[in-house]
Amino acid sequence: MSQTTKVEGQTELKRNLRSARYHIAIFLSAAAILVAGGIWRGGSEKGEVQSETALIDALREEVSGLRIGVTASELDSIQSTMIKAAATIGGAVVAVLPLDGDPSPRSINLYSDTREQDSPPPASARLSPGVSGIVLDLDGYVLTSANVLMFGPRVQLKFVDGTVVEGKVVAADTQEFVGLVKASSLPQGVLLPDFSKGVSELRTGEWLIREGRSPSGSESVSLSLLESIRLGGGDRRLGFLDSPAAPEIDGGALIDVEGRLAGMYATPPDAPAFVVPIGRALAIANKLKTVPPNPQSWIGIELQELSEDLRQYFGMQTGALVVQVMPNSPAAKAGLKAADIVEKIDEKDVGSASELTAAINSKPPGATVQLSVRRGLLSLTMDTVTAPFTESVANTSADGQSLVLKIKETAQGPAILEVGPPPLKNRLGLMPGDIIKSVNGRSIRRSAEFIQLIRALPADRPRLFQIQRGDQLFFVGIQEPVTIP
Amino acid sequence: MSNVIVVGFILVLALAGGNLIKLIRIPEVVGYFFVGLLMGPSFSQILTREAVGTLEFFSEIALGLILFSIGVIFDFGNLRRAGRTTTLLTLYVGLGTAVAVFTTLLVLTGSWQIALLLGTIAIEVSPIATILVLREANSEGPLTETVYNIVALNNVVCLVGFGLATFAVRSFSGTESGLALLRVLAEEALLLVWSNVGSVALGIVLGYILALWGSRVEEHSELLILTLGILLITVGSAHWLGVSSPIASIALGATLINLAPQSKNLFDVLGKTDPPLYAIFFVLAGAHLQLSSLLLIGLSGIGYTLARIAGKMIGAWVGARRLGSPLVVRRYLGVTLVAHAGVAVGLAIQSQSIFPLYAEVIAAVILGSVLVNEVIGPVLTKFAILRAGEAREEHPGAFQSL
Repeated sequence: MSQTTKVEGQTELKRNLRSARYHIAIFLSAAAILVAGGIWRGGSEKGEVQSETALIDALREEVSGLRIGVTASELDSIQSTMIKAAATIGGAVVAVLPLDGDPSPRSINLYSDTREQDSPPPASARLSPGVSGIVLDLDGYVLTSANVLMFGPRVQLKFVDGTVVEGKVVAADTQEFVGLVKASSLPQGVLLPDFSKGVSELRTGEWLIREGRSPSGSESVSLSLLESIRLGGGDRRLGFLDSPAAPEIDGGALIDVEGRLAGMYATPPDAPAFVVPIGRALAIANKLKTVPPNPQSWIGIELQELSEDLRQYFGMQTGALVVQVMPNSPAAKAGLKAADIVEKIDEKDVGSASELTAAINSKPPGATVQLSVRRGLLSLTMDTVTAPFTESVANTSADGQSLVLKIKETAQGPAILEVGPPPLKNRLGLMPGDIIKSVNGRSIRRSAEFIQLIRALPADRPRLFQIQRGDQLFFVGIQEPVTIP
Repeated sequence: MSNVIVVGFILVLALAGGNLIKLIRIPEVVGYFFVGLLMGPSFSQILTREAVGTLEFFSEIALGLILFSIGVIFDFGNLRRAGRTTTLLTLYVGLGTAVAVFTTLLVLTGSWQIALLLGTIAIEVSPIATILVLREANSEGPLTETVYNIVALNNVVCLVGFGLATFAVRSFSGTESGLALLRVLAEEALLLVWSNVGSVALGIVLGYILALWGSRVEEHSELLILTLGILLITVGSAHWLGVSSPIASIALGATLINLAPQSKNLFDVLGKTDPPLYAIFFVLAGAHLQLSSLLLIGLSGIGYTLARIAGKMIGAWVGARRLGSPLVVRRYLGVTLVAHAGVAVGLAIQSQSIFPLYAEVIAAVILGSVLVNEVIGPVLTKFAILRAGEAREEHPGAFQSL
């Protein structure tokens, strides 16, 4: 009897053991499946779809990772190229500097090959002590960045041997950000760079040596990697580098490891710096050469291109919007007012603001210009006599008043709280609530930056404010000294 | 409005709506659904899109709970008795639905890809709506039991079917070919296996933990805390692992019932505490859908809805006859399985990302027909069990039962 119980007990124990083993086996295999699957798929479903910026960042990281992978021979080649570049191409790289006491850059020829642009071209750019340029030919043409516009119509060029010559700004294309300067003479023995590199020969991941010349005349060289090439409209291609450069390299040369000129370095005031492939830059420079040179005349108006919404508002397809009329200027005498739209000049249709500027600038001083103007529902015709360029500019800031601005801090940037005195306020069209986005091309986010910048600028230098009013962005040129209480 | 007060309104209005609609002998869940529709972005906007998104959490819990309680039917005793019949019957119903919807949509849209994907999505039956109608009617009998059994298994059949359909569409009309296609297919196959096996494994592992820990817990209320906690972990982990959270919840319930048969009354207690969650679930489901999607439904949507019901009825009838199920099952099983929601929408969204080409048609058909089916499904289920004579509607008054 006791034996049977014992046997039964044993079988039960066995059954329990078997069942325990069985449970453990089930549990462990399920757990193993989970762990394996978890390693494979864990977290993948919850992961947000990667944003475009995240993908771009990842890509960027990958590309800049290439820097680590430079072989010793590559390094040697880069080093020797840098030395060679400094020696040869360096001779063609010049410093482009403002002439002291130069008049306003306000009426410089602006040239843009995209007529249908929506926003007015930035007439002025970042305030910098100087930019660089590349000598294009023995006629004295020098390729540089469009930032050269801020120096006024005349500049000085400093060469490798320390020679300083005067140059005049031929024109600049603010879309492609290429400017052209013509030197009055070239020093002896300037070596021209190798222009043979085609636009399509630029390769992502390629090493490029940036070479510029600082205002003091010394070489400024740095190494960078061509991170990406972006296709613009038509045959436009822009290269982007992996690292920022010193400000004076703006307009400077980019040299590939074979010692050929690959492009020009452009630093727009409110966009990332980029490389204009040399083939492209040469094409633009050739176009710029055909733009009528030196502005001779001036009538004292500031213009704005008609954007799409402005076109709709005025119900006009072409024309140039008058933003401001200088007091005592020929235009003011003729009766032109702000918000007029110039439709025709000398019976010819005005396509855009830059067209009108070019037309006026190319007239000899003293010429009579007939303007057809649309003011509200009225169509007016008025005659104005052009004045010589420099003289007229001097006239405008003669009244000695200074602009008083009270500023308050907002999330979008410094906003105008009060503006005075009234005549100036009315002439400039500034209003309380306007937000100042940039001054002379330097973008501004805080009141402190604005005040600092205004104080740092020489009092006689004109200022170009970029103003945001609601959704609208526009520029206001200010000749008068600015006081901030 | 704060979400707290919104939830309060959801509960009170759901109850009111449920009671109102019961007057015309339509299941409460339909009332909840209508309340959701009225509160949602289509009408009064008491429930904004953001609020719906935030409260989605409650739906997850409600769905998990109901599926967890369905898991009970997977106890070995029941499986031995009814396992084979249930499996085959589920397959019959699924196949009937898929074939009927496939042929109808092939004729209506002319695209075999759309027809195939929709055919497999149509297999889905909303477990929560179906079960709640059965519970509300207090029904008992062979039909009720069969419905419980089938609803549990049906999700698996639907997911596998949809996986296979995805396969077919990928293989014959994808952009990849050769080795690339093989790679994609292998990965899909692995994903399909993983979403099923992985979710079962998840349910088993957590089920063991629940059973072992639960056997050491003395108090009933503590057991509730533990069960809810483990259930939420199951649902959450299922999302994280990319497996099916419905199947994982069923597997959790199934594991528990097999390891601890005495836990059966736990399921009963859960059944008494969770109704507020179900109310929220249906109100949110109603708020999710927009009346305007009815306009999108079109001819294909109508065809889909009708073919789906017909397919279920034919499949159930043929299957029950072959398997020698009782007459009530043969006659009414198909009609009880019309409710259509959650998983179907999920699959439609999934196909949107896999086959953007067909997504528009699929989404329109599913969103429109889900709206229709959420209403007629419960009504038909109730009708079927009433006709089968399995409903025992007399409830004790609430305060009486205290």
